[in-house]
Amino acid sequence: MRGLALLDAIRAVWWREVRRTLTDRGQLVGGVSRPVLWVIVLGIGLNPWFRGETYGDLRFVVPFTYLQFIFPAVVVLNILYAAIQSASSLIWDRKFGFLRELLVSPMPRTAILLAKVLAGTTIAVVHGCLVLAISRIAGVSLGWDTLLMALALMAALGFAATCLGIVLAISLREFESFGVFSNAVILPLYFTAGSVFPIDPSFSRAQTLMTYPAWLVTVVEANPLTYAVDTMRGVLIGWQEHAAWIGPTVIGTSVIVLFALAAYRFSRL
Amino acid sequence: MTALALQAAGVEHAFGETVALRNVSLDVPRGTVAALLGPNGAGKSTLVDCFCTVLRPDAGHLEIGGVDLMRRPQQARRRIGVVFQEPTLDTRLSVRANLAVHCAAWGVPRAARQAAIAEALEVAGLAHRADAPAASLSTGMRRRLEIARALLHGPEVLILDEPTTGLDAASRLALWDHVTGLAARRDLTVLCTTHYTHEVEAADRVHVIAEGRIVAEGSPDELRARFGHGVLRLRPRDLAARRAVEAAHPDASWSDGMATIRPSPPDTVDALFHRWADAARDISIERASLESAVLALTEKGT
Repeated sequence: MRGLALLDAIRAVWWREVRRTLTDRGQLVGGVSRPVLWVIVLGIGLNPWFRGETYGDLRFVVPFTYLQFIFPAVVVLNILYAAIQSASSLIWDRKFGFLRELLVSPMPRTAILLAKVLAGTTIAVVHGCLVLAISRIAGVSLGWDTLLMALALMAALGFAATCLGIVLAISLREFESFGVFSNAVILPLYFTAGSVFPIDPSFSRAQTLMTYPAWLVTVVEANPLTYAVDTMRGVLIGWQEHAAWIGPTVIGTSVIVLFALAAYRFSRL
Repeated sequence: MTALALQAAGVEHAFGETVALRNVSLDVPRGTVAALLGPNGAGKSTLVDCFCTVLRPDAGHLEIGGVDLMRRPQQARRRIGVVFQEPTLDTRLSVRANLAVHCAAWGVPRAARQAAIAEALEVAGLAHRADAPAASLSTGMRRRLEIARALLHGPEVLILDEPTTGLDAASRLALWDHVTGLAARRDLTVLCTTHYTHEVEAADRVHVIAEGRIVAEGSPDELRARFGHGVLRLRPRDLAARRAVEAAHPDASWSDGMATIRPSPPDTVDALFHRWADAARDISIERASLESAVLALTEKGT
């Protein structure tokens, strides 16, 4: 199978996944309740406490409200959840037989995987857009150029996260294990990605280590999601801690490495 | 074009320490209905998985319509339609959507899809349920839909892995009528696995598998004749006749004055009948069933 027939087969599998997920009320409720909780409850609740603070000689210089600061991270969180959760369809398909039906079709396995990953990406972008829809509440204004860049970044993140979800779903055969395990992956990744607190860029490394424990700084710096959240901040509120080239490089590398890993695991199903 | 639709030669496969297939060879000529019959765990589904390219055998050679499965699996997959033992429908999608996804995944040309789906709905007898969710269908309807779906892309070979699992007796019969009817109308080759002996009566050829080995093959009549044990039932005319029967057949079982005698080779049940006809007040032959033939074969295999 090749050419247009292959593209059409990928489209059919992609659309099946997207339609199934977008008509699943549970996932939509999750996609809406997460930003409501994080942005409106946590963001508004902590907003007054997020201000310029002085610790001895050090002063935080994040020039934004907490709502604005956390908003891009919530976009990333919603993408992570949606993408990884969409990968759980693989467990469903495996358990209820539909995957076998696809595996005996003339579609190459990489094409089946690509269709599933693109579906997860689409769903993740939709869930990211659900957060963008409440940008005004967070005090973030979006122009068309910002929106287009955010969509491209959300798609890349969604792609990488779906690949990660598929690798997890191949390893775990039960929905229950997948739910617990995916939370055990998403939340530590999220909390150690500079999502809910900044490591101030104006600090020298020595100053940073005076303010935060060394293990936390190391974990945050080693977490690839740190650079994704940072890049999303750069796009949405025009402020980021790290050099602008680092985020796209880390995300691009993650896309390639995670897809290759997912393809390897999928080929051995 | 080769005369064989399916060919397996020396196929072996093991799951860790468990050997599932041992030097399995079978040929299925084009346009025939072949049955792979054996008890649970005999290796039927493993062989089907090998033919479907879901599983790569450890050794041996497999062909579908002359296409080498190991070398050209994608080309081979186009030639087969598969119905697995476990249901594989997406129950959240409508009947029509299930068929549409299959058409796209098998590369059925867009222009031909509508007609193919309409025909499949007709074949499955589900035209009136086309837009209903697959979840709302009964088990029998789902099976019919899966069979119709497997034929959407016009395969040469239909592989059915225990398709009657979970169906009641009436639905099983109806399904077999459906399959054999389809095979005849479309000149299809069918390979069907089952552990129900009565289901293979309609097959042209039966391959009996036990413990991963093909232990016998032939038409149902041939298997019955070669491996089935008919029994002779007789009520001796008098005490002398009874003593003679007891002396000649110490293994005979007796109940209410009636002896049940299983012939020991080279004796046949017909030869016994002629031998004891004059000594009996009451005598009859119970012919061999395919079930007894298969039981004898699979017990011997195990």
